[in-house]
Amino acid sequence: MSALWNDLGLADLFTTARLLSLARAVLVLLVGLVLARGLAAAAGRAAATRWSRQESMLTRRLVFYTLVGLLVASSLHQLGFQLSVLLGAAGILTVALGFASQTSASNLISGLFLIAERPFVVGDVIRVDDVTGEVLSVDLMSVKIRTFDNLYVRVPNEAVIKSRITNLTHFPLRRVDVKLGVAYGTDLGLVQRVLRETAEANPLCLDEPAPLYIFRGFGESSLDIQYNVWGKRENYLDLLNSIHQEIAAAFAAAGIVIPFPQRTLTAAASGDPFPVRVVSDPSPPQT
Amino acid sequence: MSREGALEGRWWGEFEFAPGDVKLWRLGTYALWAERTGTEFRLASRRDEESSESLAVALPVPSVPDDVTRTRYGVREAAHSLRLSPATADRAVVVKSRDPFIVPPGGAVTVFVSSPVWVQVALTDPHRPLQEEPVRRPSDTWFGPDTMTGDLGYAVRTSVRYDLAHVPAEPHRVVSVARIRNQAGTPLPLARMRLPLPYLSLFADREGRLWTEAVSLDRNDDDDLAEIKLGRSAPREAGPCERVAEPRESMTASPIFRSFAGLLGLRTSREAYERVVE
Repeated sequence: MSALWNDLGLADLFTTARLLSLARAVLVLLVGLVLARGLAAAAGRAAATRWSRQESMLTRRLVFYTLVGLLVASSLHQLGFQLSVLLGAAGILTVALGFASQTSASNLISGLFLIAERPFVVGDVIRVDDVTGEVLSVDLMSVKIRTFDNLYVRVPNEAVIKSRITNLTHFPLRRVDVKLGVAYGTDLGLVQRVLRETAEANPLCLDEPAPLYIFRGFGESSLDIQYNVWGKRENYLDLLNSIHQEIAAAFAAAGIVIPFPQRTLTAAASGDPFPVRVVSDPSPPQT
Repeated sequence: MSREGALEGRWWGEFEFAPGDVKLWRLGTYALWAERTGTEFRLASRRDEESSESLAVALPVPSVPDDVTRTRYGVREAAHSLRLSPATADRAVVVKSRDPFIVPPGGAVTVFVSSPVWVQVALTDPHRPLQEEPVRRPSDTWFGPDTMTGDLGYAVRTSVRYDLAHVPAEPHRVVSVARIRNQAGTPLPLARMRLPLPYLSLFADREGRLWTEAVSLDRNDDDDLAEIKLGRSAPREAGPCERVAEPRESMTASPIFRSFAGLLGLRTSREAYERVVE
């Protein structure tokens, strides 16, 4: 057994000195990881007092991964690896890996652009393609989004860069467009007054920018109107619900009719309407 | 019923509650019930749509109506009193003049603005705030050059007066005085005006009417910069007064008040543009 041990050269490999350096390397790595985690958390907290959530998250990660890199290099050095040789090998490896991992590289570069350009930050509500939700994190490879039905969506950075993003929470105000139609013959002055009074009575509806009344045209069965009101971003949904409800109630109170689509059929030949006769049978059928 | 001071129209102060007591405050259309049960204070409020100008202070009532939502606060058994205090609006108030009002060069005008008061309820000894709300929730409004930058404020319509005699004396409204002098060579249109209410304190006069310090605004040149001064005590129109509330915020760095456009909304071309474009 011991001959086999010697033949394989394992005795050389596991000399006391080697074991000692291995233990030291593992120790450096373990203690270092604990320390790095603590330091990164502290740096993140310090950044959070001054910067946004996104910047503090970035700071924490940057500190952590830099320290991990240094620790790994230091551990390898303890084990007797020549770092310069390793880095040279890594250079060749990078070229090989580069071809194999084009997607990851593209995501990485896109991630850097996203971080630099800041079209949105952590906590914003964005719409990418058909996904709408709150941004949980902007990482090097992907953006994580929590949708409002509580699904976790990971969008690769490359897709984010290429597609049209709408940031719903960038500006402090949002507009609610109320589209409605009133029956032909309605007094439009009255409609305008009722709309204005309804908007004035709603505390969530901003006084300035003032609501905007737009006559959109003569529709098929109604006079089409658009009424734009502004609200604080946080109140968007409440305003959307309340203003529609209040307009419906105010119209009903003022006798303004929101018509159903209607169609009048006329006979082409004579120009007279179709004669329609209601035929009712006075006696119920005998069974 | 224990009341601080016996002056007319005062609804604030410290009020004792025996276990089981229910008291009602009615300030115009706003009603507030407070109830003490063992280790709880229950507060409930309602704003009635129909206008009623009545004033009731700590009126003992049998119970809180069932259709009003109560908020329950767990307190120590020894807590037996509540303090009600008036406060100014928590955001700036923007007033719009219904008719165009222009201050010609060399002219001066005093504007009286009446805004709803906020009611703060707190435990006493030690002081622990429980809740606060306005007697009437004013509409939100935006004060800024465009929809991207600016501040949210409260819109106060119909309440700008140029004569004190026209300002209704109501204990649930706060009267602010703005003195505007136009020493520039061009007329000054008063389209909108923003009063920084969170920076002002509250005073009560003999009748229990609430006042803030006067805001004076001197426009010297034709540019938009103006000198803005906040008074240190109640305005002289109020007569002898007593300070009843400190400002919400201290006047430290608020450069917005240094600019004339910051206090008087001057319509910008961008705003006009936004009205044309859908």
